[in-house]
Amino acid sequence: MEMKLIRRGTTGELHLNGFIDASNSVEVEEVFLDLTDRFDVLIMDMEKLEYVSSAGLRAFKRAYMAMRHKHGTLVAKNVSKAVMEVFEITGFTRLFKFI
Amino acid sequence: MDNLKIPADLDHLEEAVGFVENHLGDAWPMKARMQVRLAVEEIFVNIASYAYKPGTGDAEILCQCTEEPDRLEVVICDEGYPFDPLSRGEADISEKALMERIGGLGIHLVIHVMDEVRYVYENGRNILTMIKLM
Repeated sequence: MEMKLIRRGTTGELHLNGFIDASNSVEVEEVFLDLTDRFDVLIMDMEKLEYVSSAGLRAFKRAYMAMRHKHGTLVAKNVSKAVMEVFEITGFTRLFKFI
Repeated sequence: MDNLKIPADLDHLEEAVGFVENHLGDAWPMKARMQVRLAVEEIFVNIASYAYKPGTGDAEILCQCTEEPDRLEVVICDEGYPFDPLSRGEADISEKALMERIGGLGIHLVIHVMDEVRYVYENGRNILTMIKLM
């Protein structure tokens, strides 16, 4: 799992690359929560995110709740087909604003 | 069927997933491969998290992939507490449930990405069978 952050003032764009599964979801969640703390708008570019399991969904959910709490926005961009299927099956599409 | 018996813990997740993935021939598309990976991860992680709590134990995975029709059968067993993961049925994915729920989504995903999922408790073992057609 690789992550790259691009900063634009109060907006952060995080590029996710690889897999989020039960073996790394805790570390990924820590990164997400650090970024939701620092930015008002967090864009997650998921073009190269190939796989998310339910453990990974939990990390996205925590990020969403943290953003909602501070009235920020969680944005999803370029979501790969495989990951979008997981979001759709579980109703997680409603966590994001898609651009 | 080929079988693999390993400790049910997160350190063995990749071994569990890899064992099943190695049975898929080259003709299997990436989408189906990812769905199989997802199903195996969800079931294995459930066993690792809950089956023997607070102790530890093993999971046994049996696997067979046939052609014409292209069909993968995966059986995952544990000797932990009897638990039918299918007993809760489809998960509620409403917004309210989404915010309140802890867990339960894993099996929901498994049911959606596999073509058939069966559970039986037999001789002290939880036996979950999953079928995926190409």
